[in-house]
Amino acid sequence: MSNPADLSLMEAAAALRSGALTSRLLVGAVLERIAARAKLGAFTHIAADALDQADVADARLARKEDPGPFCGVPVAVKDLIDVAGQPATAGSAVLAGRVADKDAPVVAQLRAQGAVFIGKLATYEFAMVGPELNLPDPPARNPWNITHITGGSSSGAAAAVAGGLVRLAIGTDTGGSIRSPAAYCGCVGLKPSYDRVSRAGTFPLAPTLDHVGPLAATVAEAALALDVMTEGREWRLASAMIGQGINGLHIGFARNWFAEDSKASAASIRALDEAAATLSMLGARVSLIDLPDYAPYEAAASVILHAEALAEHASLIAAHQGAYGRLTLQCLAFGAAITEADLAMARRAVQPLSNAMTEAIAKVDVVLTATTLTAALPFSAFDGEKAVWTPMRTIAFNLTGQPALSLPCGFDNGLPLGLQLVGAIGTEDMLCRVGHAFEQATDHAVQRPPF
Amino acid sequence: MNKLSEKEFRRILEAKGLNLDDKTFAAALQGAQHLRAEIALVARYLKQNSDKHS
Repeated sequence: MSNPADLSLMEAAAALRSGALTSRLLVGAVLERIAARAKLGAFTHIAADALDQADVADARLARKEDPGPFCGVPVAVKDLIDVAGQPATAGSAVLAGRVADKDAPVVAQLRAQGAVFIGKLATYEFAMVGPELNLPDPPARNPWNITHITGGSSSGAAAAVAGGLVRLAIGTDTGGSIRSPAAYCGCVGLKPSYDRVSRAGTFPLAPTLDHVGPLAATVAEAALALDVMTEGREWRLASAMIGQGINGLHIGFARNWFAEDSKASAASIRALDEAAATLSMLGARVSLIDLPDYAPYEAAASVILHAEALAEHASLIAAHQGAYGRLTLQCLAFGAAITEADLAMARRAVQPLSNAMTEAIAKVDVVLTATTLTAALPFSAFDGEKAVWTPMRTIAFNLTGQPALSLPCGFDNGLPLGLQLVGAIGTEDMLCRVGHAFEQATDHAVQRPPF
Repeated sequence: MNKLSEKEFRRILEAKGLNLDDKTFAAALQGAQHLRAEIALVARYLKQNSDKHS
């Protein structure tokens, strides 16, 4: 057998059930891999009881219990989400020493299946802004070139999955924090529909925009994870249509959202055009559609995000202002410019903006567009005093609550690029069907960074 | 939706208990001005689309 750390979730589950592999061996291999690639800075904490958890899973498997596909499989969690007994600092000195006393529901659902929680992953401080170099933990680094950023705020999650440390990480996404690091690092990121996955036990950034979701090595693994993470039974299984092919599906290619923007790199535009051609060759009907102007979505979401974030932090700022990182405090301060009337107005815009999006995509099964407009920037671009915003096309779907899937679609000077698939609320199954077909037809998902 | 003055922003930050050093304040003011522009954009959007998508 090859290194167990390289097995997909499905391969690992099969090997664990057949007795060809034990969870102890699998978790041990993953811990070795994490140590060997520590320069990525993906993990901020390794669970001291990881091998004990593995032994419990092995005992369950030996008793022929079958709690689910994650029994004995290592999973890592962004340090914004509570895992019982593990640090819960949201990447900030403000919460230094805090340890979660219970699992967030999303963690509990995976733990009930026997998942092994091997540790916590780096995050931008309070999921707000980064990279910031003067925090307790150094920033995670892009596995394809460690002089470049990962994007964030699920920075450690993307570095860990793309860097081959784990197959599955749990992240959060308020404005693109699952999808943009997934795109920059070269892995899959799935932001589910709003409210599909519980946000309880997760430090809030902006509660009406916050989403919890998986980052995984492949679309099928992300879909499998989302199905376990989903709260309630009213949602269609994300994995239900994996492998069905896409012949006859109608894909709307929203080229206007990136190709008309001067910030979009030529390589990004080329990769997206090639992706559209690939989907067409697979039998989908691909046609250009114009999504509504992105700017009002970004504007309304920014106003809501900053106002809600400042409100969430009011009591912590009063008690621990000096412990915040400078960039985070600066970004929180932006929110002071927003009055209650401004916030109410931005919230009034959500419904018409959502209606306009629904109308624009009504005639297609899935929308194809960019996740980010460029590859990951170097750390050197962030050396100044100001926050640097990287151009992306993600926050609109935090506002509308639609599911969105980012997956690798090419490279620019050795750094990954991502495409984004978007659908109506509850259509994660369709996104994963199309994403998986694209993955199978190309070699993007099997590219690995050099170590 | 007027442009936020430095004096006004200082007053708001003080009221919210935010004490920023000069460097952080300057960057925060710039971000706040940007947000004021975003608020104006949302207002324009609502005005233009009040009948269309509501």
